[in-house]
Amino acid sequence: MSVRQAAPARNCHDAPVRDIYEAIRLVELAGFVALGVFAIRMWASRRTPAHAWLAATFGILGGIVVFDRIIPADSDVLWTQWADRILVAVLALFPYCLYRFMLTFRPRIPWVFAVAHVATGIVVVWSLLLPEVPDEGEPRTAAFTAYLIAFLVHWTGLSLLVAVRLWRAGTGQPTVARRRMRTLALGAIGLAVALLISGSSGSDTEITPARLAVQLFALASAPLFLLGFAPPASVVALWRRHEENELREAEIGLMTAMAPKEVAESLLPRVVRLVGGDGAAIVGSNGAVLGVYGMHDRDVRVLAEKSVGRPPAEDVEVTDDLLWVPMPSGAWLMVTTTAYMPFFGREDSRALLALGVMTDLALGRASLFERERRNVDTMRDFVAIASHDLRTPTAVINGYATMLDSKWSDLPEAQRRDMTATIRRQSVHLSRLIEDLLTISQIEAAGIRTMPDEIPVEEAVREIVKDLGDAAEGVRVEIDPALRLYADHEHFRRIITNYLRNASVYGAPPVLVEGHREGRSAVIRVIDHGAGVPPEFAPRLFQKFARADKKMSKATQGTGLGLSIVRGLARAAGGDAWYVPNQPSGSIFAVRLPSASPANSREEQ
Amino acid sequence: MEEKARILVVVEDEEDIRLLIRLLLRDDPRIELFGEASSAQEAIELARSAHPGLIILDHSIDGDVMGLQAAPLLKEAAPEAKILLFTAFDLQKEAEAEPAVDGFLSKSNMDRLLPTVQTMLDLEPKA
Repeated sequence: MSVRQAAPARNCHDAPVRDIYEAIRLVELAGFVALGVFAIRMWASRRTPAHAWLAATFGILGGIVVFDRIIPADSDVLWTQWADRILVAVLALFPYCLYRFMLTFRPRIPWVFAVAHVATGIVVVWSLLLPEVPDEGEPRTAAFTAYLIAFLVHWTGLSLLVAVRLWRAGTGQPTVARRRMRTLALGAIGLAVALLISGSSGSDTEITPARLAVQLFALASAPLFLLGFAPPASVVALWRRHEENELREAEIGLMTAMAPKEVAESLLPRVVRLVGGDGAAIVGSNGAVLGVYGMHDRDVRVLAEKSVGRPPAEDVEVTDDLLWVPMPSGAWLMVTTTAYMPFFGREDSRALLALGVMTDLALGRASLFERERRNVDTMRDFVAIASHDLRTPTAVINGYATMLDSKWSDLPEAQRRDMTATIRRQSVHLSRLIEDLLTISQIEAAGIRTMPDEIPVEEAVREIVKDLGDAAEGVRVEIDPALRLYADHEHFRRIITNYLRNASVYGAPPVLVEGHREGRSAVIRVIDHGAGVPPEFAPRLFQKFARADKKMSKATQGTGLGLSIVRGLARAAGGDAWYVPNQPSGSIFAVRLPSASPANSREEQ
Repeated sequence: MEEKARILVVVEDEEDIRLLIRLLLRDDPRIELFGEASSAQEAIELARSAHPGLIILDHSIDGDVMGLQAAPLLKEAAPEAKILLFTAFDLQKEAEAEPAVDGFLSKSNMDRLLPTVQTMLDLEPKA
């Protein structure tokens, strides 16, 4: 330890040892001054409480080694005595500042906090009020020994506390953070050990092995501290090798993931290992949880809700013990973390930022893949069902026609008649199916031609009901006579016809058609009192080839495309079509179409 | 007079096709159609009691079990029965991959039904 031990050696018999000793002290001086300057510069650029306490800690140390050299070692002069005392008092603040630095990462334990303050206060005041400081070589008085013990206990106690806490907190952290925390801990211990040896070795002016050891320990602590709070880039790169590999693997995982779920599965465990957390999650910009690892679903949902209102960020943020990694799309990668991470694991959390961008890209790509795959599946199903439904009537027509052709004279008249009737029925069904398939393909290719016109709804519906004849027997129409909508007349007719036919085939009377204006739309509802749509089938109702009742013959049942056409036509007109169950039973099929507003009504033109 | 081959037909898909199958198979007096079922459940019960020589199985049938999935269950119920998957779906590959299915015929080839059934039952084709 350097403070006030630099008295000229009176018993210097061993010149080479003295030279080594002096050289060490010079290097040590340079080291501690550099540490102080470094810490203060870091604080100047990043004004966090941790940086402030670190600047205080090492600023004190650097300042003291400098002043120690400047102030002449002449204890007979009053001002140097006071300067000495002040230096020692300030020195006592070093472990205190180190302790406060550590407290920026973890909650204080109240009694430890109180003891640390009281002890620091006592040591500082005691240093200033010390009645006499023995000169080098003078025997220590009992009072001075008591003071020295108090000083050493205070210093080593706080240093050990900090060192143990930092060392233990390093467990499970990524390599850089762990090594930084542990080298800081070692530095604190090195300095404490140096002080202990120095305090117990008496006040010899001889260059004893103990004094050399003191200097060596103190010397070693400087680079340890430096590695701890500001490791050079080359060292960081060396330490990060493992994490860099982990990153590469995460990137490969991202590039090969074909579905959002795979993105999350390959990324999250690696991210957790990368920053030494316990769990991670990806939450989309809309708050949808895209993947979870090592966290409770419930917790993630709460966080997902919080993420929705969160302002976009450019850097990794830490709240709720979580690293929030922003993604360009507004999604968030969240990783559980410790409070130490932002200070000690800056490189790793920075790496996450880049990984977040890549994750975003991977997610976008994977969801495109997934959508494409779903489209292909839907298309494959559509083709399979369409070909099945086309083949069946064709096979029937072909089969009966062949039979009639080859066995005309063998077949009784009645059977021939039945067969031709079947052929007719099946060919009607076939041509309806072909028409529906063509309509569907036009709607899906967005190539359906609409010729919108103003439609007086009540009049149009009454006409449809009349044209349907028996199929719409007893249908009641309750529509606001003033209601007019703006749509393709033929499409509107098709929609209402489909709803009324469905009500007649699947529903039960009384059937009611009602319509009113709702905002800027006209909504028409066809209400029946049958059994309604089975709830498990309702979500698929408007899909292509959706048939709830498989028992019905296809020729009488329809093509299975009617409702998907209804919805397609309604949407092509800027409206929509949907189903809600009627109470207590039955169905309500509704369509919303743009109402004829003055802007698009004929009278205004 | 040789013993009649027994056949069980399972068709739900289309009433018209069920009738057509009856008319087509009527041409060979050695073939007897003794049962029709509309679901896998019904077909399995029928197969267990009647020991059919051949089951003509459609894929699109009543109930939750589709024809192709019903084939192994039918085979278990009547191990001696051959199973012909007769459907309008493109299931040739799937039928070949299913050991319980002994033959596949698309409904588009309605005229091949009788010869296929005859071959599967080892019956000499008749004029």
